[in-house]
Amino acid sequence: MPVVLQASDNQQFTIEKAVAERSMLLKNMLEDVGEAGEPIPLPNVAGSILKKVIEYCEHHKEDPVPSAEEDKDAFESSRRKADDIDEWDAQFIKVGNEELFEIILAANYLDIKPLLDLGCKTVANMIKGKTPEQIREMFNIENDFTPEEEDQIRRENEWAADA
Amino acid sequence: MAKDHFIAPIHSLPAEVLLCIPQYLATADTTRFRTTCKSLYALFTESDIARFQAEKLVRAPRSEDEAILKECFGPPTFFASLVIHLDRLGAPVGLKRVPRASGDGEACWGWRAIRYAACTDKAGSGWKKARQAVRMLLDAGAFVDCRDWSLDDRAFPRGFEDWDADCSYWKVSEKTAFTTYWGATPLSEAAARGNLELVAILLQAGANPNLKYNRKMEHKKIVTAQEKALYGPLADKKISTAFEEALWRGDTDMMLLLLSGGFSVEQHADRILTEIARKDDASILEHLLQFGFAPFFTSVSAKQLGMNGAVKCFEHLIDSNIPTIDMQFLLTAAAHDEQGKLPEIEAGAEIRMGHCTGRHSPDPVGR
Repeated sequence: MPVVLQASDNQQFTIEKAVAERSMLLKNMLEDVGEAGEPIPLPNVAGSILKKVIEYCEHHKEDPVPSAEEDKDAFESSRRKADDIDEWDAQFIKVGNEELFEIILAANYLDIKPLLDLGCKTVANMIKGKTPEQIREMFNIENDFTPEEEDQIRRENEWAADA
Repeated sequence: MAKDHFIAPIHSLPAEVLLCIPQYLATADTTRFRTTCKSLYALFTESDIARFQAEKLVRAPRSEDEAILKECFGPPTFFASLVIHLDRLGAPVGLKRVPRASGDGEACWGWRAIRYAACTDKAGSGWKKARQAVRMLLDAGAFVDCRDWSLDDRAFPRGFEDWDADCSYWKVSEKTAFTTYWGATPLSEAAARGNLELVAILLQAGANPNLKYNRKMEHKKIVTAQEKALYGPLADKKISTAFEEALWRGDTDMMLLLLSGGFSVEQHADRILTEIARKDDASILEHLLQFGFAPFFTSVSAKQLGMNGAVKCFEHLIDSNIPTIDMQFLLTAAAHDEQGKLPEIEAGAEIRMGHCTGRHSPDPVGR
């Protein structure tokens, strides 16, 4: 039974149920309302991003769902390493910052934990080994500390400066 | 929804998303990320970062410990809060007790935290943070004489339980123990760095200044040039104490503090005299004598000291014009004169007697 998703810009996508169920939000929704056949509106996700997310879910539809408690530890430890990103995933997430943030937001909203983790890992890899100035530049962060505050913060955190 | 002209800054992401990021970062990176703007600074509190790293530590495979430990090394206060947090979580960090040989390898975070604080070099607010950290750890029930026994727990000696019973563990396997173990205490580390205030705190908390440890550095996996400069000749000395660190540094304030904290020169007299002889520095001897420790020279075994050491020490005493030395020292030295050094000592004694009494003594050993 296919599921129809409607993005914020009214674009519609028809996908398999197994693909939709990668999203915990959609999975719960489908369990609650049954298969009404009506398009599910996703007002927080733009069509272009939803397309990307569906692409991810299509690729990972065969993955086991790590829900059982006994799998938790193995699952947790494997996903806590930032450098073991799957080759396909690495290619998939090679996008601009704007799109990356949108994907992360959509993954968070749709509750797709592996995709959220992939996004966060990617952000983490971008942060690694960079100075605050470089991080600001990369992520469009405006330095809103006053010079005095910044001096204070630098002193408090100077141990991290040359680590 | 297209925002071609405006890229949303990262901190516009919801907090629950941002809080997912540090689990993939080292502490230092999380901190740098945190210090980029006010909202991120407020979002990642020190305790949050501690929690992320604590979870990492609990999950860490044994072999990765050192790398992860370094990653988690922030200021000593941070590391202390991390270990206390772990302890509260029920992780086996060994904060409150000395871990047993059979214990889990992870049981060493507790002592690492307190020792790490003691190892802080004086730089900026370094020592202040070290004191804060040690107080935090002691308040949390940390064991004050926790030791760094080895980087590799697999080579743990049997009989470790006797560690504090005057180092009787050394007898278990002298070779292994001496070449593999280190055993410095927070007190000795702080004393080696001249951190008087921290030594005072540790002594107050009941640290034992008489604990001996293996000072030989070569077994350590990492000996930095900085460490070599810090420990100097002591780097190749086998047994040492906190007092000997201070002695090597010529730090009389520290020596006084350790003496008032219960350090017994008598217990360690042979090594201290050897060190003085080797160091060839009369001023140390003078200091010791000023502290009122002249009598121990009478009981020390010149045999243990070795003939050369005895002669050197004696020469220093003469040079320093110290009037209180007991002739027993000379007699002991003479009794073990195997290298025909007695004439030298006699000559020295004559000089000394001349110094002390203002006249030539015809029979220095016959009083």
